[in-house]
Amino acid sequence: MKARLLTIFLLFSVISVVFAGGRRESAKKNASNEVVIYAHDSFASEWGAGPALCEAFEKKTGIKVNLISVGDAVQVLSNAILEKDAPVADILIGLDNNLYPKVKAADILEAYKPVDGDKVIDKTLLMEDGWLLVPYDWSSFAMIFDSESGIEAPACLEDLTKDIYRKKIILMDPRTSTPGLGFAAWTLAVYGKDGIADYWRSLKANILTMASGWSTGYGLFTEGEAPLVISYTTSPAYHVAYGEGDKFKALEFTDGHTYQTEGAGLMKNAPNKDNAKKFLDFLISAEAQEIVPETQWMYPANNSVELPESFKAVSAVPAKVLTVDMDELDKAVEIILAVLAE
Amino acid sequence: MFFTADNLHMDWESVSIDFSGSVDSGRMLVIVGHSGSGKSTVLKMMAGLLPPGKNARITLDGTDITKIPAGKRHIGMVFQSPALFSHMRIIDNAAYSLAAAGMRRKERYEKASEWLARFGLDGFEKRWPDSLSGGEAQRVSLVRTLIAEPRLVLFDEPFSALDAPLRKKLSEELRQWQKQLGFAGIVVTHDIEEARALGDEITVMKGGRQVWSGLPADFKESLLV
Amino acid sequence: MKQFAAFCGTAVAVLLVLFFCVTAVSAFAPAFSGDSGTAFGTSSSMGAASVATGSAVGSDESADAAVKVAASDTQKSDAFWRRIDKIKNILFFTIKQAFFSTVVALIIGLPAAFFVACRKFPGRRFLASLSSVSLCIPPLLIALGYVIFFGMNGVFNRTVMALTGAKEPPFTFLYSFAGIIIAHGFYNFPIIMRTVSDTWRNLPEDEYNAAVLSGASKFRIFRTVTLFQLAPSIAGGSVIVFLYSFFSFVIVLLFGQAGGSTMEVEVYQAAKNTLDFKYAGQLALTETTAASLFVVGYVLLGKKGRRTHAGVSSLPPVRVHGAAEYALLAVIGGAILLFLVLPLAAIVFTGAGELIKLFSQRSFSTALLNTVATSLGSASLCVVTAFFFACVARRADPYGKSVVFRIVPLLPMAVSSIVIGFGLTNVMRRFHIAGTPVMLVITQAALTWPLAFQQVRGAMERIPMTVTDVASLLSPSRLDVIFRVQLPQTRRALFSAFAFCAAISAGDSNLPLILGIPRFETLSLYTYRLAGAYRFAAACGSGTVLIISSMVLFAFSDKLAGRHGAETRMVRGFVRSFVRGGVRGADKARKVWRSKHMGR
Repeated sequence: MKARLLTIFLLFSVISVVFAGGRRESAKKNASNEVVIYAHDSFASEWGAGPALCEAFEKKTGIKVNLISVGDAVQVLSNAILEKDAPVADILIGLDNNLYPKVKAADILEAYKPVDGDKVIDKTLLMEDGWLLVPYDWSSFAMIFDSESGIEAPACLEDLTKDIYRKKIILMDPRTSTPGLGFAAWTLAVYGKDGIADYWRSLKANILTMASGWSTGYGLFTEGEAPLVISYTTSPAYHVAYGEGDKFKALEFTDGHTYQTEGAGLMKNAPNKDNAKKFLDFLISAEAQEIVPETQWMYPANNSVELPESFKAVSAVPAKVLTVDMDELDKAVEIILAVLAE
Repeated sequence: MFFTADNLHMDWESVSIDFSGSVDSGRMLVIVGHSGSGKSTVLKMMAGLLPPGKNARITLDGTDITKIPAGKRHIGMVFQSPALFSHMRIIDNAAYSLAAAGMRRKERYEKASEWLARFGLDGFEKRWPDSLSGGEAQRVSLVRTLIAEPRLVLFDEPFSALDAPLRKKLSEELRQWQKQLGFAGIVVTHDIEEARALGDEITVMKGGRQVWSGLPADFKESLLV
Repeated sequence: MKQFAAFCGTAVAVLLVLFFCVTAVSAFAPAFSGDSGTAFGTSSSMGAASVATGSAVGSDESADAAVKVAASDTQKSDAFWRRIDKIKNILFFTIKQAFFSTVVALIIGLPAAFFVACRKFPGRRFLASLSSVSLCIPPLLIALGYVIFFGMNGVFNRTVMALTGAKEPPFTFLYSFAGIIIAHGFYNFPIIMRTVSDTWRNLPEDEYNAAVLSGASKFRIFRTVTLFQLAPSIAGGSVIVFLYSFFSFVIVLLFGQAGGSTMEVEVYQAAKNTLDFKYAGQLALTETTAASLFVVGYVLLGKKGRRTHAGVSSLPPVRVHGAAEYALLAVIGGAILLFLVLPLAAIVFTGAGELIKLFSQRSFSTALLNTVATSLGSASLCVVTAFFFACVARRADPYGKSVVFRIVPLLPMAVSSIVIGFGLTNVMRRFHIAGTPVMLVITQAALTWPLAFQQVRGAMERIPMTVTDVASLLSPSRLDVIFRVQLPQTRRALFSAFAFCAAISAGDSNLPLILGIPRFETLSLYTYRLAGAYRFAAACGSGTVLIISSMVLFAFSDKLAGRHGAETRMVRGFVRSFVRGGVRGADKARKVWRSKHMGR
């Protein structure tokens, strides 16, 4: 009898100890001057812009930044949605233009135009011309080409269906990867809802693989598995910056390119709203934006910032930029997958 | 002599085992000794399950079988535990060696049923080993061994796991089966009574060596100490 | 002291299971909730449209939903059945590739188990220590390894092309169904090898000898006796390989047909892409049910074999002999070399150059230490829980007759990491729980302990019931039996299980990502981030460290557990001493045995 009681007691104490450690984050006093950010992993990791930006902000304003990495952009959004009644985060970072419809529908953010926002950020980067998301970087999708592979570089999407590229194209799955979705959007923009089925039918034989994520796909590319991979126009800058040469080239297609803009959002019921606004102001300032290119390997949203050498060498902004209706994109992905399964 | 084993030798752990012995058809040699005296090892060397040593020589019915692999020697062995295959019914256990020899199913089932009946196990064919008592299982084990009609059968403490009355009964039956089937037998035991009852000749092992050989009548308990 | 330990153990075990149940239920719950198909509440046009078209259609059609709100019922049910059809096909494909992957793993694993258990040969230790490789590195690196070696531009193809002057790479099997099952099968065969060899090593000598003397050939003995004796462990190992392949994501998508899908991909898409939580819940439930059915199926398959080989002596391993054995060893060894060791080596070579740079970075060393801490922590919890449940199972079902007791503890493995992630996210957010390293340890342990349970239960069954019975009669309390008899006798399995769980925990990057623990990185997460930041060589380097650490851990835990075959000799000695002197006698015997054998 005593034994049983003891067990129950121990059980209870163990459980409470464990969960006490993680209790009520929102209950923490606001006395500590801080701002809480949910960011996706590529921003928050030590090779992303996050750590450097946060350190600079802390030094400048004395406000402590609690940067929490939450997986990918969708995870950031869904975490925020799930706790919207008692939010812990002030800012969400990593939500891109593709996710925007869902961001809008979730109705958890408040539009905020940072200081000098309309001066330094082009209107084209704004999503639906609003400031629900504050853009902090962007890049267009492009095929990266191994110029030492011995085959001719394609000049447009149609070229990719030529026989010489048989099994020479690495793509990513649009369901599980942003560049994969970006490529799908690209074909939608160029061929329209009615034309993509035929395009993908003729492209199919040339696809070596549709990797589950960018890492896998690009990794294969750097190992020489295939001479073409879908990535960002800014990817070659990394290789130049780290002394790996410039054999990898971002191809500019005559069709134009789709693009991705990443933004930060201010939570409606943010616990530290003023601090958050200060952070957003900082995020698009020249000081912060200078850090962005060689950490995120994307173009800075702030158009007054000068691009680093590595970018100037290889990553020209494409002349023609395409947009896609996000609602149509989901349907298009379905069509593409159906064609591939034939 | 029908079966001879000379210069069996093995160095095992801290003990050196040496043995030489022989037995005739229809006769029983009993090896007696305490546990750890090396008796089981000797049997396994005879059966071919363990290497018999450099200078060993084993003959069966005049043929030198020292180099012949265990399965081909036509020697049977019964262990202390029945060691039945628990995923097979009794009939399949009994008929195992017949199947290995290539006998067709109908024939071997018939033969196995016959033998099972002979050993008092009529009706046990479809049962599972788990459902048998110790004595019954050991009988099945005997059937499994003897059905192949081996010319020499080795018994490694075959009844020591059974209770006293059963042990006595089975020992008596064993002598009868030997008379019927005519095999040469070597029994290993630590039980003195059993040794006296079973053996035509007894040899005592202690610490890996043979310390005494002789007839049951001359066998005294003190030899084991 | 013993009481305290026992209560702690009990508490841990119950806590882990409770935690797991809560998380799993949170993953399935959305399937049954009445709310709209998407996660966004009802204030959006999309949300409203989803409500209108109902759960059957889900977000698949939400783009057109606004238009289709007035659509006819037949259209709706058409779409519903089309979706069911689609899921059915995906499910069948997932099962198919998992099944054949298991077959490959068995084809390599069974002979390997034979050689590791029954034969002595140079390289045996190395083969045995391959046990953990597939578990401890992220699938991304496995894929990279294969590609580096067998890819279009891989070492293999380049060599052949150089030799033959061919223009196009001749070996493209990697990007096909064959590639998938080879990658899965070869990376997982060590699991089967280890599970089966542990049993094989302890098979009763007498039964084998009886079969030999009956004149049966070695192959016949294997076919008619040994296979059945191994059936439960074969089933146990196969389940794990099957589940691993069933839930595999990266490799299937990479090597499979473009646009192909598995159940896991579908759940991922619903939970993380379209944010259709209800559909995600339904898919998660379907996937888990299917996986559970397979767990049940495999365990039932293994039922025919004998459960307990308690306290019997087994044949010690001998040198490889006979032409057939040498040939088999050569073939298996060659296959393993070609399809496992070399791709692994490819990763190591690619990463070797980066090792110095990696070790000089503070964040790397921190990640390494964190990994050591969390993996050892979660492995300890796993082992404690597994031991606890093994003791419970031992008391409740001593002869292993009950299928329920074999199946239920394995069921947690039927829940995939994405489903758990989905559930965990829901739990964490709704209850406002932050991610902490302790959470990581607990979650990992909650998912992995069934693996440990399998091994420990197997070892515990090898303790003769008589020993336990006598011990219970002579001991002052039940705990005595557990601590002085069952614990020492399952040592080897406990160590082995510990190493396995540590490897799995070290190789998991999914949970750290979901938990989002601030300023805390494990090596696996570190590797994942390197790969995401263009630093592939460094990722390979980091992966190399993981591989080497886990191989070392395995070798070390094998050493700690005792010499080969020690288990059975110890058990036999135990039985003898019990007969003579009860528990105290057994204690003394154990001490004597230890001093005699460990000293040497």
